[in-house]
Amino acid sequence: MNKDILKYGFLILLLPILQEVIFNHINLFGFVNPMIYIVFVFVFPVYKNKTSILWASFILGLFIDMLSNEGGIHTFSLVFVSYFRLFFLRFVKGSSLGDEETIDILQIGNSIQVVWILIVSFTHHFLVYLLEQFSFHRFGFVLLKTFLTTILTSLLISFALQIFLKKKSNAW
Amino acid sequence: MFQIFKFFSKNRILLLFLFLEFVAFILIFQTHSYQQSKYITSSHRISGNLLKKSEQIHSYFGLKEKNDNLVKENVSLKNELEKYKQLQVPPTVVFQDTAKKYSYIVAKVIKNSYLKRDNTITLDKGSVDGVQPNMGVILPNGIVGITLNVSKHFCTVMTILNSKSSINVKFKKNYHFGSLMWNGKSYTQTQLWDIPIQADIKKGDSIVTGGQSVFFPEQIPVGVISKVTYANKTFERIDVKLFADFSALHTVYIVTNKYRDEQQNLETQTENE
Repeated sequence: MNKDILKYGFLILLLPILQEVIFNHINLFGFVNPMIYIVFVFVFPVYKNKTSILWASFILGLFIDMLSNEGGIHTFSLVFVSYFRLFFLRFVKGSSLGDEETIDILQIGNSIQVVWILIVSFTHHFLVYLLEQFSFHRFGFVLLKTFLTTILTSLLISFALQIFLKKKSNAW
Repeated sequence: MFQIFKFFSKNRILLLFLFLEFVAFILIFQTHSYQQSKYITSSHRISGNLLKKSEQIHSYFGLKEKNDNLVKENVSLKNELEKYKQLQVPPTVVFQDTAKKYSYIVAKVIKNSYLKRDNTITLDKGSVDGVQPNMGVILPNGIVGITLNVSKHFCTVMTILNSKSSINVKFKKNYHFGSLMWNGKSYTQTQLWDIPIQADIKKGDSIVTGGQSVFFPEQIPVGVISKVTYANKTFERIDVKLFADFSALHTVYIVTNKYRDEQQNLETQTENE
């Protein structure tokens, strides 16, 4: 547990810096920037008590919002998907999730993991862009932006998980 | 009593979730009111410094492009100079600033945004450099916006690409004036409102800042009219193509108006009477 606090505390500091310094400058098609910081929702371990992930994603969201100057948009969306992440996983995997307290997110199989990442990213990005617009005006553009960003974010996160985590999965 | 306690302990995760979302929503709501949150903003000391470092890294990669732009600017300035030399007359006064009303602070853009509905940018100058909230920000070839939050070393600017921005402008050729507001579609174009129908306007007319604004000096170029649509003998929409390229903002000038408070106080005093 103490090791985890250090590890994920470090991640909370690192992700906003990576997001701001590298991934906010991709500008694919002029407006698509992947939000890779939501990888946090996928790697944070499943504890019996959900309090820790809610607080952790709240703090991470605040850091992202400070850098992007958008009030609480990222905080709201990140806390939302971190609360519902296991609900989405159960939805993808069917009823056979088993005991929630013992599942290892890194061992759930590649195809399930990709679909899960897609659904969570879509929900998160949709909330971010909708709150950014703050109205249903130009709803089509919000959807287009959500689709494109979801694809880019999911690709990057899936690759990152493959490269950085699968190798070490025995040690986790 | 025991029932309430049981309910809270049973649903404490859900309640924590709702509480955190509520806090986040308050923060979102605050950015949509004029007075922004003072803490979750990029003019905060820590985030400001991080953005400055990030800008330094990215500006290093853009050095070649900036060099080319400077060379181009140099060439055009030299051409201008040659023209003046040939004219052999004293250059005309561009800014009529008889009372030394305005002075300028040079600032660098360390965080830019232009693709959202409400765009703000962050500058590397703050209260120690003399920046205050509600000061105009301009470019040599256009206007950028108005300062919003100011910390010790940074400030955020509400650009004209923002739903809350409304700038007093007028035509260069006559004195019809109107308001410049943005409909959120393209970052190269804003819209002009409140123009009377008798104003003789056509595509290509130049728009400059009007003298009614306390934020900007008069006669700063803004853009040209790119499209006019009519409906029922009134103007339905007037598009203005901006001179300023918001996707490549780098160095901007913050305008300090020595008599701003005096003018504003006098105006509110007169309104209240």
